[in-house]
Amino acid sequence: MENLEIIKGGIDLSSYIMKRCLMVIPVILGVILLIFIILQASPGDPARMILGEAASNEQVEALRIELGLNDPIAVQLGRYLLNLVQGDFGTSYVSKTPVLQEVLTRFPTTLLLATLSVVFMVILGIPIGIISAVKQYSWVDNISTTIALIGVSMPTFWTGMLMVMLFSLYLGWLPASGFYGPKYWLMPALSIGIANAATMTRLTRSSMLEVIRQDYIRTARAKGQSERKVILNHAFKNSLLPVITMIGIQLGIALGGAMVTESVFSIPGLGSYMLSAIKTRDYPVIQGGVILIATSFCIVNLIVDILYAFIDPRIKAQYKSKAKNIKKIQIEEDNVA
Amino acid sequence: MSTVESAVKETNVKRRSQWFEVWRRFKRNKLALAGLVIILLIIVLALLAPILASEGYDQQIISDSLLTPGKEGHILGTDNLGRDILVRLVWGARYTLQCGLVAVLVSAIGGCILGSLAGYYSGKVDNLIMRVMDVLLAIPGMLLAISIAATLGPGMRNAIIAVGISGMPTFARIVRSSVMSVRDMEYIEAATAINAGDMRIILKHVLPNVMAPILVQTTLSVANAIMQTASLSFLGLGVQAPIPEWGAMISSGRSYLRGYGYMVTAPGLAIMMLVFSINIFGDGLRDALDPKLKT
Repeated sequence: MENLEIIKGGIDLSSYIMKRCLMVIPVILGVILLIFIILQASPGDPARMILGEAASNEQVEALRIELGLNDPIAVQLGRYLLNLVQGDFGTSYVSKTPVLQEVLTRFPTTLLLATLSVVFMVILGIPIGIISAVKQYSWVDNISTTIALIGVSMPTFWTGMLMVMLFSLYLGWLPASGFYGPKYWLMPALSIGIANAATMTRLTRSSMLEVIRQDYIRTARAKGQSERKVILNHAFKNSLLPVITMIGIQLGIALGGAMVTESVFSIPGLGSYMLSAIKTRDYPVIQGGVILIATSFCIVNLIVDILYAFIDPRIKAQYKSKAKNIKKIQIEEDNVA
Repeated sequence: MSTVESAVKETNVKRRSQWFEVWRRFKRNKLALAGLVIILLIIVLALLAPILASEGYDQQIISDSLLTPGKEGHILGTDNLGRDILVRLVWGARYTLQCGLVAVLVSAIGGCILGSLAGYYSGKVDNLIMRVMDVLLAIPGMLLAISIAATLGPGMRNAIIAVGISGMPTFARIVRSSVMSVRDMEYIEAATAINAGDMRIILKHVLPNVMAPILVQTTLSVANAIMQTASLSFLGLGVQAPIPEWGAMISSGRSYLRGYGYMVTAPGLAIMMLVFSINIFGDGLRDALDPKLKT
């Protein structure tokens, strides 16, 4: 009786979502702080980088004062945060344009690349994973598991270069660099997609194997459902949770690893922009880029977490029973006290 | 006396048989065994580099540059500076392995310290440590490694530190949850009861009992660390020329893709083989150490 009331009064889904959203804020603040500290600690004077070796010490000093580089770190951080809140990510030392604008014009390219790679990952990885789970220990399973392991073991930039050699230089089918249309998108997205598809295959396989021995699968078969339906509707749907998490994580990894792939194919995205910013010590650009990528990574993870709660009724129930247990323990503690 | 001796003997036998059991289970997995053999072979090659390839990794014979594989006794050909690629690969095994192992050592030690503190003390300490780890995990690993490497400047040591730090949060999480799972066990209570200090309990009672997941994570992390350092070197932020770390070798062959693709293919295959072997070895080790962990 008492428990029932507690369940009703327990933490419900909407406040869970709310809480989960709020939890993102300190993490992003932490990222900003971390990147700020990391860049502060780096050697080399941005003012000197901007003006070049020929500039006099007085000019460098004047620019340092102009950029506010001589202020205490806390002041610089405070100023940076204050500007961030107003949507001002600072000005690029090199191009003298606002960072936010520069970063945002390049971000869609990187996002498109990452999304396409995830699409390839899903198209390649999930079906192979399902097949090898259904036909566990068969030759199909052995071959696809081995291929998946090889796929995980290939550096993406190397896969990309092999593709360039084969499809651009030898066969001449696809352009080796640039990012101007579907023809250009194929190889970069595939080179990331293949490596991730391998991870996906492994995950789907193990997740399916866990589900496939359950009683409800036997029940579904017993009631005469077609094998196709048993596998897709009953087994796969129930093994979907880790798969969805993986999609979110891989999207983040693809965003974070964009520098490498963009460098292989000379794609004018955020990654290659940040790479050139690293070479010229263009701090505001590096900061802006990392913050943007980390924020999108957090948002993707947030969406995955929220989707979780909607897709899986067990999690909802678990959440409620957890709330119940906490309350129960609290009541017991109160009683003891 | 004799009973004590026999008891000691018995415990010794038991001790051995536990590892023997792991080895027996591991041995059954032929693929994992093959992985172990390849890893050992590469380690031997790396150790014997000064004997096998006594000319050193930077011997340039310009007249012999860009010889395709098989020509004039160069099995894998020569690069643009006339250096034998096979020789560089053998030397490169040293640097590649070193990068992977040391970076993981950094992550494992850091992660074990932070994770066991967080898991053992819980409360405020746990909260503080894990929130910092959350922040580190919010930046995709490769991006974090790139940012740190960019700050520290290029070079092998800095690349190792960067990759090591970016791998730390994962370790901390695994160690923390493992420590929490044994923290309330009776043997920990017993250790507390005989007035053992916290340090002693963590080092002697907690960590040895959570070794299995840490060991597996360590193995699989080496593979990841090798890939990450290779990527850093490829971007020019990691190991610098002329050191023949395999990623750096791929990077230096980049401009010769047209016609001289073997400069890129060979070191890439080497990375693939090493990482593949470590992965299958790690999978086998996980299944052997704890069948429950099997995914």
